[in-house]
Amino acid sequence: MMFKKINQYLLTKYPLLWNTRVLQVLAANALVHLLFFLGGYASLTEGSSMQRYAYEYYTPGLVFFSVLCSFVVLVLWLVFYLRNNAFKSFYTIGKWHLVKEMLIVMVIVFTSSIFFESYNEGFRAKGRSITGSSQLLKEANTINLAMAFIPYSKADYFILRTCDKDNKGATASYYDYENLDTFNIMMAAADTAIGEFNANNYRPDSMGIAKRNALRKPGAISYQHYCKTFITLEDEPGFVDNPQLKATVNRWLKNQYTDSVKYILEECLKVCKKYDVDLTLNTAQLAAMPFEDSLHTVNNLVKTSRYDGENVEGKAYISIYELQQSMEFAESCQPGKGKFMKEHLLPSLYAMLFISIVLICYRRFSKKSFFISLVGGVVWFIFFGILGAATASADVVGVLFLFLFVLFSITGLVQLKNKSQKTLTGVFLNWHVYTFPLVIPAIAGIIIANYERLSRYTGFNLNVVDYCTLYPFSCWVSTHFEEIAWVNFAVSLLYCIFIVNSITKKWHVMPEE
Amino acid sequence: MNSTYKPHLAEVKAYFYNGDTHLGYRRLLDAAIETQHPDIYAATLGFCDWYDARANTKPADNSDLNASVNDLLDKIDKVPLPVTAGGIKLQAAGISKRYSSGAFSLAKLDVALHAGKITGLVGENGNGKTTLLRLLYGELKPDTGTINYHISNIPVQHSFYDVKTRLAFIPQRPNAWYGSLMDNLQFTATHFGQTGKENYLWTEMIMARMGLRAFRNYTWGRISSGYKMRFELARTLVKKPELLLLDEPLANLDVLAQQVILEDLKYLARSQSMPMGIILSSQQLYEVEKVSEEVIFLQKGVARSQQTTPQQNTAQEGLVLELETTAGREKIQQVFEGYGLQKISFNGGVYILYFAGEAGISQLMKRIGEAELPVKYLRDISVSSRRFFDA
Repeated sequence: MMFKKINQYLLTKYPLLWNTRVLQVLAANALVHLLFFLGGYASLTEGSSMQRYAYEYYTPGLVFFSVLCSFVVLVLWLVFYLRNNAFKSFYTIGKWHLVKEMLIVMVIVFTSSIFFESYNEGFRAKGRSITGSSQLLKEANTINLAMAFIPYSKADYFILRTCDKDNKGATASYYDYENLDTFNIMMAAADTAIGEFNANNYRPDSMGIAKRNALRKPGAISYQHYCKTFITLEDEPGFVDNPQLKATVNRWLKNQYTDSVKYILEECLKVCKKYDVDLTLNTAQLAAMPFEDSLHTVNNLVKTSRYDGENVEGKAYISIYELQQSMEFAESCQPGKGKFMKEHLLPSLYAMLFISIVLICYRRFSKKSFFISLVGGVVWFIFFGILGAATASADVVGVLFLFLFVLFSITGLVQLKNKSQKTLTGVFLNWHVYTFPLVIPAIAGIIIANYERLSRYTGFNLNVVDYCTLYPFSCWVSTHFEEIAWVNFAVSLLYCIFIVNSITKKWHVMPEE
Repeated sequence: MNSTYKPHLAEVKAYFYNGDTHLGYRRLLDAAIETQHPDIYAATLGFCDWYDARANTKPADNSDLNASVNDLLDKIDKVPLPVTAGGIKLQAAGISKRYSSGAFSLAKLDVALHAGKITGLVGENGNGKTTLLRLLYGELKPDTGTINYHISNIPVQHSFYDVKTRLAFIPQRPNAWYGSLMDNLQFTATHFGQTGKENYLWTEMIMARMGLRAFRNYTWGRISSGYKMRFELARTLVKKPELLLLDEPLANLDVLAQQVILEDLKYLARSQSMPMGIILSSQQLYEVEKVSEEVIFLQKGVARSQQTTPQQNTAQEGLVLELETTAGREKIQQVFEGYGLQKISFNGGVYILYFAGEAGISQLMKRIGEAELPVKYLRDISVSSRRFFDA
């Protein structure tokens, strides 16, 4: 009864809201989003399930189900929405009627097409309820400190490991991935058979020579040099960074704080247990290991999984992968760390824009013009696909696309002005509208493709900085493609709102012959 | 009684008094619609409910009905009539059209449509009736000539879209629409400024006037083709158009329904508060001529305009009779010898007799009686477009 009253009220007061069924659809969408959210919330349980979702929360099955729900909602909505069309019936409409209708369509399409995001949000909410931001900070600091005493790679304890924050990316990563054991074997060989060759062919200040010299020093692999954060929470107040961590480790080593080491290891094990990380560790043994000699040499390594090398029953191991996954997932659940705003929003908005454009064209143009243009659009799409595959050249496809865009636009607009061939004009205008949002990306694509080709010609071995010096504009386009995509979205939206509506109104009153 | 309503209200009263309740009912609704007053609409709809309920009881006499009607008429009479000026609504000068396929062309013609007047458009199939209507509606671009619309209720700075909001074109086969009749009427009415309770009253009034109250929840698929035209007409009237263009509105209607629709159109066109200019094409010559002030006859794309006022035509072209008889041509010639019979044409069913001079219909009928000519059917078509058709 209440629903009927609201419907009647909208019908006799706000016919556009009644026609678009926006309130009903948004209410239905809110319900579906809530169900997806609850589904996501219920799917996550504390323990091992938190390890599995570090990169993607949703499975193909979930995406398929979400798309299916979107399809059902949109089809049901269209059944009602397409019943009436004030514009095509030449009803009196306000100045902003078409704009409002377009925006309503966009809102409905957008909210109907991102159900899986609510699933993700449900997931993340549950993740936050398991590990809140303060808890995560505490756990990260605990693990980072504890991992100093769970050695699984000698590289982390190498004397050349730097704590220089500014140079963290280059130097630290170099040593992270260098297998020092292999390097040692190589060095031993260098000292004998091919030593002369190396001495003649490598500069004395090369990294290899530096490492070789460093390794010869006593205590080259020591707990004292540990300077790594296993989990990094960027710009998080209270997060213990590398230098602080190193200072704490060294203070404990210097003062023989065995109990502190043991305590932090036990705390770490509690965190691991929470996330069901696979491990077998003896905290007493691990706590004693740093104090075996005065240089705190790392003599024994912990395996990184139960399948790491020759696993001996009872030998210490910790699944580094599982621990990393768990912590990354816990971090991704925190506010502002989700993927929607960073990665999914723009593609979702573009999908919404294209679906809305197709719908709006159906509402504005005759069925004949619309369907011809739709079929033609599919043919163009296939043609460009084949052309792209055949030429493997983005700029050839881009230039041809731009040529066709200009052709469609000029032909359509000239015919609109001359009021001739209504159906054909409608087809050209449809194509014009479909292709408009792709124009700026096509231009950017041509620039980037051209820039990359020129770069290859002019200097095969040039790095990014050199490219940008040679071709600053192309470089800027290449490195700001996402920003360009955002601007293009805004321009396309405004174009649709202010220009397309005006064009379609003129087309609608055109005589047929 | 309000002086402007007087003839209309007296007419309604007379219909009910004489027992012509169906016609009286429709004209009563016309009177109520003329007021453009929500209170009168509400009172009239109350009367309609009562009238429908009463019809089921099959009452013996109409005294209660007459009392109710008088009561309602008194209320109507107290409301000032919002009179809207008529005048020309469309002026087309020298318009012609040749299709790009070259199969057909409409020769130059002038058309003027006035508020309050009906123009009939007759002619055989394929002679350009629909083409002319589509030209007037702006769906086709004339090759020559101009079409000027004199529409009042649109913004000063208007587009052709604004003009078309005040025109209504109902094609022979109206496009299907979806949802219930009531929803569609209300949706239309809201767009044309009828909001809230007024919207409900106005759409209910139009439904009552078009005899569609029982069908308010029906959808397009549930109604016959005859009612589809009625549905479409109701939706059009809700818009209060200034010009109404109808293409073969009688095509799918039975004889009785044709008469009712044409009478309705006549009354609607001549409304004092919202008069509209109507042009309708049809094959039903005599029915169209009954309600039209002017008839345009199209033959192979060439127009012949015909005023339907008798005195204008008989004097110019003489008497033309349509006669169906079992007698042969010789017998007919023999009967009308000396009465100015100039030509007889026969299409196998009826004869068309062309008389010159002073012969009048009374004299000729007297002669038929005297000669005992077996007559099945006789009609004076001197002012009818029928005479333009081949036999």
